[in-house]
Amino acid sequence: MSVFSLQTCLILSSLLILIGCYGIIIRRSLLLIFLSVEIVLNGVHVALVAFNYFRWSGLEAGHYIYMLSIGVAAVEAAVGLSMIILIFKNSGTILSDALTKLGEDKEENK
Amino acid sequence: MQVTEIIFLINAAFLVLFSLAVVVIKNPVRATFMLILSFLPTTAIYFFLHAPFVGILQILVYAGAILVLFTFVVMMVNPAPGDGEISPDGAKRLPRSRIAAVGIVLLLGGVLLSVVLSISFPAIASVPAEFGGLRAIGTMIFKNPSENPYIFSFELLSFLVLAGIIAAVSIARGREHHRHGPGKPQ
Repeated sequence: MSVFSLQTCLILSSLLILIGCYGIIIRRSLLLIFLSVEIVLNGVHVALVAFNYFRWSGLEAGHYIYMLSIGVAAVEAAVGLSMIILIFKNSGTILSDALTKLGEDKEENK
Repeated sequence: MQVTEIIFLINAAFLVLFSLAVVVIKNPVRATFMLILSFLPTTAIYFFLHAPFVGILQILVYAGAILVLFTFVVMMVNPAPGDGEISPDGAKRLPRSRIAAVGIVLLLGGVLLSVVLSISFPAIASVPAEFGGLRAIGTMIFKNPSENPYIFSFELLSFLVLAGIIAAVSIARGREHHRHGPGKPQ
């Protein structure tokens, strides 16, 4: 069995997804949780491109889904990071343990 | 084993190593830079998979745009090293949550890897030389606009990006403009 095969690429992408999941569970800072989500996305992208190469059926559909996916990921990063900045402005921390309120404090809002 | 296979394996090992570093490293700025570093072996793997355009997009869009945004936000929020760690104050709680995380990941990994290893994929004809190039992808997306399923979603993506820009600006601005607005006495 060749090393450079679909199975190797899928094992690699599974490893990346697992590493990202571990990071999502174990990190406390919202920013670092976000970074772990990017690792999961990276693993999925490797699987997409690998399927497109090894199971080619006449179209570059996997590459196209990759392009859509990084577009969505860019929008998601922009909106998510602006939300993180807003949370940091309102409560002074981005640790997920410390964030127990969804809204702003009434007294500070005058 | 051929030389290209060895290079592929080295790239895969570096990819896993840098991704692990993102997850376990304590300093948030270093974690962000590790993620940028992990995109270089990813790009090499895309080149191995005959996807040069995808590899260039990975560097341009991901490492060049998204991760720079991340770096700016990390600098702005400026978290202390160790802030991203799990429960720094209660040392007793640390191993329990880490064991739980490892358990969940092992369960998920067992399912994923057993599926990947049990399915056998039949060999298929190799791809043509122009596979994955800019011309092939562009033709696929933009050919025959009236009956092409790809172009509609591609154009919709631009609306999503526009909505994302507006949402990001209005969210990050917060309530500040109401508080210091001209309508209120200061």
